[in-house]
Amino acid sequence: MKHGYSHLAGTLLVALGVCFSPLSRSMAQSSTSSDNTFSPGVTKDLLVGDFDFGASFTGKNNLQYDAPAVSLINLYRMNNFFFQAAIGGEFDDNGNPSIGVKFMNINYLLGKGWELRAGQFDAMPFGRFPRTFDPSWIWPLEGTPKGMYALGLTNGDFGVMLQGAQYLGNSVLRSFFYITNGPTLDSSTGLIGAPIIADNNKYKMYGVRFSLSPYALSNLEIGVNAAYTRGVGDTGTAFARVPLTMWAFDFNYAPTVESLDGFLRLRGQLNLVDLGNATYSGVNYKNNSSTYFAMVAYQPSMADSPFISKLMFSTMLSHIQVPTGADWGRPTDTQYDLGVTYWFNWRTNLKFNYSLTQHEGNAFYIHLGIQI
Amino acid sequence: MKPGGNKMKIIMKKFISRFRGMLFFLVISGFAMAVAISACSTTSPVVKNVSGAQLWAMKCQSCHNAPPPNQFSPQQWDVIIAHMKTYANLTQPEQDKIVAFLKQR
Repeated sequence: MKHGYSHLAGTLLVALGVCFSPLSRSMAQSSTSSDNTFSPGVTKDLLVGDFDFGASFTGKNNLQYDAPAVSLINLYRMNNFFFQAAIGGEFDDNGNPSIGVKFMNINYLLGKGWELRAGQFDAMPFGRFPRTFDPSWIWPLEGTPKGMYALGLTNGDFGVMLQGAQYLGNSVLRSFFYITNGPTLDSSTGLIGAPIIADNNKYKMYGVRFSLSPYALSNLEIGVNAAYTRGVGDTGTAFARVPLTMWAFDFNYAPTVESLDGFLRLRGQLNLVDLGNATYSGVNYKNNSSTYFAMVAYQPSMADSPFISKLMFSTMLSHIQVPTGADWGRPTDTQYDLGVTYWFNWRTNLKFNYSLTQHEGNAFYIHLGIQI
Repeated sequence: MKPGGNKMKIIMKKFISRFRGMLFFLVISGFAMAVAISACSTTSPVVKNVSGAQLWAMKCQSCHNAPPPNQFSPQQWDVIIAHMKTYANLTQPEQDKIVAFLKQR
């Protein structure tokens, strides 16, 4: 019955998307010819997306093309209602094409900076990286920070969310509150995995994010994130009552520095994951893990040379700490990245990236990212 | 003790045990929201004197390159600002000023 409700909610969201999309287009055309008004509300629709493709060199004569990936995002707004859905297409490891819904949610703008949201979210407000920096046309390096997607929650989730931003004197407080299905658990390895719409147990994930921009006229933002669920394993198994507590701390700052003729991007995030004790494949260990990254990027955007002004230089340190005794198929590892990105325009980049890892070997990447 | 008092206690205990996580979340969130609502304001004297162009450059640039205003129509900017709200969690004055600037082109 519980799963039935989940399916019903999913079906309703799909139906809303299918109905709104063609309808909104016809409304948008009508609205253009009638001074943007269409009774009973004003409707607006937009199709955007992103594309990325690249290649990696991991040694002499070892060139490998990365599978191209594309996603299309439909955005639709009618007064205070806002609907967004994304479909993504890519090739799997065997070269077979796959298409799937990446996210689909409906949002109501409550006013005064508050918004109520429901559906499938593409990335949860748990830190900054997956939610705002990950698209290839935004992130200046080819690779994602080490271990960032080892957290199940970062892959998106299904549920409801309230978010808002308010002034606190001359500071800005941005808040998120959410209740979602929560991650799943691979009981053979102790790794948490992506949430699924047909929830695997009766326990929900409760999460909050607070971030503070200490000065309203600066884009410095410091965030604290917490999420908790009483159980992550499948119903009916010994893992159903294994609790999960996660914390993340993040910062983001992108100042313009006139003395450097350009701007900097300073970003970082620390994730702490604490799964309750359990025995995985006969091994009992303390299932605590952590990941972090720190990135600095510099673009001399005010340089006299047009070519130089379109270059961005970036470097990143990232790390994953795997629990002692865990059989995760990946070791505790640290990665260093150096990159040069050329921006053809504000939404198209070509990246050259050298990546050094302690355990997985080094690689050189070339990558193209486009927002379409 | 009233008849049924023990039964009520047991029901309450079961309820608290069953919904402990949710209650914890609601109490913490409610407290945080109460503090936020009482202490926060929907505007700031500093932001009142800032132009939409300044906010556009500052806020967009914090995550990605700022798109030029002429890239999208005024109707499309209304949609995009709602999309950006879901990611950047902009305040109401930030949304209003940025979209007004982008629509001027």
